[in-house]
Amino acid sequence: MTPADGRTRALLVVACVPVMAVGLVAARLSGAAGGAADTAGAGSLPAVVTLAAAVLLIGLGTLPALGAAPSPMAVGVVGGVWAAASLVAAWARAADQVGVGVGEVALGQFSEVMRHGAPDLVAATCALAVIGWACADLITDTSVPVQSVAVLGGVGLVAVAISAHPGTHAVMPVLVAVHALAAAWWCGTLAALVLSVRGRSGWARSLPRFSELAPWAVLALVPTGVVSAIIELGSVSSLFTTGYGLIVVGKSVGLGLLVAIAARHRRRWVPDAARHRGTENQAIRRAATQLAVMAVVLGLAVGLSVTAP
Amino acid sequence: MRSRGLAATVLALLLALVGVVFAASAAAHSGLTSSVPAQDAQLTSGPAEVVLTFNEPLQEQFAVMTVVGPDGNYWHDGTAVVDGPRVRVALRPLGPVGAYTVNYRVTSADGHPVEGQRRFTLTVVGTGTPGTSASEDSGSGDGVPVWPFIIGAVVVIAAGVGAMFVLSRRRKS
Repeated sequence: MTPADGRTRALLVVACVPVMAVGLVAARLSGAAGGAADTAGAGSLPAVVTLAAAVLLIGLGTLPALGAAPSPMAVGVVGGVWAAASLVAAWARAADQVGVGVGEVALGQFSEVMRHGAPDLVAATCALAVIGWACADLITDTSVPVQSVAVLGGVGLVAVAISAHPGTHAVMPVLVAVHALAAAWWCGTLAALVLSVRGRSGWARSLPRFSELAPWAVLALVPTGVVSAIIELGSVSSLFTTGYGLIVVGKSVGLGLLVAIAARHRRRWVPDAARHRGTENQAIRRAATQLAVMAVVLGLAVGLSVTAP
Repeated sequence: MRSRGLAATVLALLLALVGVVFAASAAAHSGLTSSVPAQDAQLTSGPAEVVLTFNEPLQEQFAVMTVVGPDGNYWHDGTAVVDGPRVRVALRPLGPVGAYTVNYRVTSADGHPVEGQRRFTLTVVGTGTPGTSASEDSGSGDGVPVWPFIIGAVVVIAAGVGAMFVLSRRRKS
């Protein structure tokens, strides 16, 4: 079998977006099953795309720490997708708040909604800066470290993540920010590795390093997620009686599955890769399995963020 | 063992955090706690206004409250006003007997819209005259729509990324 080419890798990562939409639908169904007043709808689809783009940028921007380098073109394209999706997300949110269809939102109403908090426009601005980074890197001779892309991705991600329910609470913004950044680094880096690492030697260099750091990301995201859920839900019974609780249960099951897959990969894949064993396609297949589950959980996360607790 | 040590650390941190935060109250979504007139109230004469009280202060923009009578006409007077956790709308002197429906849509502090209905019944005919009919909804069509701007911006971004692609190719060759 010939090694997967760039297009196949890109398609694999792009395919994560529809899988995230599956997670969003699951969140909508759980929300409705639990009788939540406000569930995820079609208006959350742009939010899915913005999350996917921000997560991938955080992964691409932190690749140098794993001894790999992202393609500046990929960074620019993902930045473009992020910018466009953020604007559409702002538009959908304005329509939702005003209570009209997306086609009927007036310019005045849009700016009124944005005056009361515009996390999506913060994200759009960060995304434009990412495009600027890619242009500078590709077209001119200036070279700004790619880590700045990860910082921009993180700022945009956190702005959106802490804007809704968490914004009205004292400690929630900190918990949610840590939770979102840790999860984004974990998922985004795996996707970025699939996109950027070439050949057995590439995996041999980057995968063991990723596997060393990944448990710390899990260590950061589990307690922050658990405590956020406790604050929002207040009781154990509401885990199963409210829509919000059911989505939290779904996310926990997904995380359990992910940790199991990751533990299996640590035992088999990481030692294999370190010894230059196993083909490149095998590596991509293993990463794809884990990415698919990650995408469902991220879709659930988008659904959770718009569901009323 | 390394992984066992890690698991123990996670557990310890978790317990500590749970202990610290358990006392914190839930930051829930806005919900309606009471209304004047009360739900399913039987009234002999119409009140001067309808007041809905929520569990937390609301955002002041985009609060909408309408009162639709049994004749399908609007019976509120003017627009809804948000005052802390309360939203109120003035009422015309009521007319026909029957069920009056109060429709509300407000934005809670966390930015999520909350909407619902309340109902009260008038049992004695009043002398008031109705406002416009609820079926011929006037409104919304005010001002320039925002969608051409959004579509335009998306096209510009796509063109920019396309230009970046072309220019970098040209530079390489």
